[in-house]
Amino acid sequence: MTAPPETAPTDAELLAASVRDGDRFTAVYDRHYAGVHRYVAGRLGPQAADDVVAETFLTAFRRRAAFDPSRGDVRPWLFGIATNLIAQHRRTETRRYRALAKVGADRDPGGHDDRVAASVSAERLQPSLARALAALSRKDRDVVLLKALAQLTHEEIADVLGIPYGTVGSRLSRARRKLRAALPAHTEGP
Amino acid sequence: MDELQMIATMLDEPPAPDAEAAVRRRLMDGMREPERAARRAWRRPALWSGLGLAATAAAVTGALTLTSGTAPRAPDPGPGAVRPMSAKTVLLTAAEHAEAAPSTGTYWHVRTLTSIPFHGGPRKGGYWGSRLTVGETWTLRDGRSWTGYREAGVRIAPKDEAAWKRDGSPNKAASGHGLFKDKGPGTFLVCDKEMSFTQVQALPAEPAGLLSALKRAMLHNDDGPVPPSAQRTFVAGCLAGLLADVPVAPKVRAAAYRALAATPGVTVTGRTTDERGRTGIGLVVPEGRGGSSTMIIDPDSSLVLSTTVGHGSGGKDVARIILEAGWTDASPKVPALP
Repeated sequence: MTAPPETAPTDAELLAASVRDGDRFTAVYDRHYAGVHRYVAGRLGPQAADDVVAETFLTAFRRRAAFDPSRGDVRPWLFGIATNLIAQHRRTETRRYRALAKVGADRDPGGHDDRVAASVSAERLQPSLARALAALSRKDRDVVLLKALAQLTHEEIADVLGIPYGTVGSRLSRARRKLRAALPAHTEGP
Repeated sequence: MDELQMIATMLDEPPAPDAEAAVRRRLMDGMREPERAARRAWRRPALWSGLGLAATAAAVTGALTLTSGTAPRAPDPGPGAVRPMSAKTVLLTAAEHAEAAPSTGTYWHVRTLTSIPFHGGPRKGGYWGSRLTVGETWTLRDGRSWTGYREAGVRIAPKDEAAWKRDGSPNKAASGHGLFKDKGPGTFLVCDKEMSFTQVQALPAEPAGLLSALKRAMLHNDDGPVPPSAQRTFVAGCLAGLLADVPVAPKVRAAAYRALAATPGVTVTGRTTDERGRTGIGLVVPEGRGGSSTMIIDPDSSLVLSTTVGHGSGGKDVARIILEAGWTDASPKVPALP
């Protein structure tokens, strides 16, 4: 066993190392599984998510030699791959939102985690919000969800979607306007 | 809380602990055999098979009425008499019966039971279950429509029942219900495009024409472009959706079944029962890359009994049981429990 390096390798270093030694790729997976899963499961639901998340990392594995660190980080690159795969399961995605709009608000009211307080106020609005989300164009929805679920920066979203930086801002504000319009006025944040 | 946080909260699906291990296993397999994995549709172990029947057995009481195509069904020949059947034969039989199905009545009425998976309890551990909702729509030929719903409780996997009870059995007696007159005219989703009753009635009644109409709907759909690589299977999914709950003329339904019979990749899984215990034939329709939706049809009545959009078999799919779909004279009312 070699001495541990002084600092943990960056994602890009891990990915570069995995070109020669494929097994190193599992470290990339370990770091990003939770984030990618949250993004994909949010859009497609838990069942489809497992498949798409596996496919995302496999696609990344196959393309690892072509990753260019000068063009952005590994994390947004993974979200870009996931977003392209999600586009192929659009029917699953819109059906999920429509289902959420129908079922409305019974999201784990007796739940244990600390997001319960937040979800209580959100839950009454779920049908409107889910409907509004389903009504967004896919372009706008990609931007909204890369922001809301993946917490990418504007710049990263621009890289992921291959669109100019300014377009990210304009799509996001347009989409947020539509989402806000679908919600009752008094529910806007402080 | 702003709308982006609200969306994040609404869409949050905590990963199940076993899911991570399963995804890792697939990744490791794929890393070892990258080429084969690229072309292989993912298959998950059928951990949840049997769940539906076990958990709903108590609820399956009383006969379910199919509002059209009430041709008497041949008795189930039993497992000893199973003949091999092709998807084509099954679908062409359904096409013939679709053509003869009645289409008179005041309202187009669809009654469904939707099952949406959720993860409850603590983030680690916890349990999986499904929330059940009965939804009904009634649409008049002039487009006026009504929507009703009734919460029908939850279904918990037998292995998770203890965890759910420890959690206080949430949603055991969910009882929300209602009936609303819809504001706008009722529309039907055809290839992700909202269509009016009149537009739906104008769909072509022969397979090739119907396919082009669906393709047009897909290309101009309301949700944005479909990647070219996914378009062929997307249209196959549209045919399945059309057959499930859109009020098209009997000849159009027959054309949809014929088009599906000619679609490559549609396979038959054989005689099966849906989650309500109704007998039908299971079909798998490819959808997107590696994904598929399954449907159970009753070839004798030509009705679609259930559709499941998912990527394998298992209780974590969003399943839609079509309890009734057809024309009726009965007025809209608050949905009853199934």
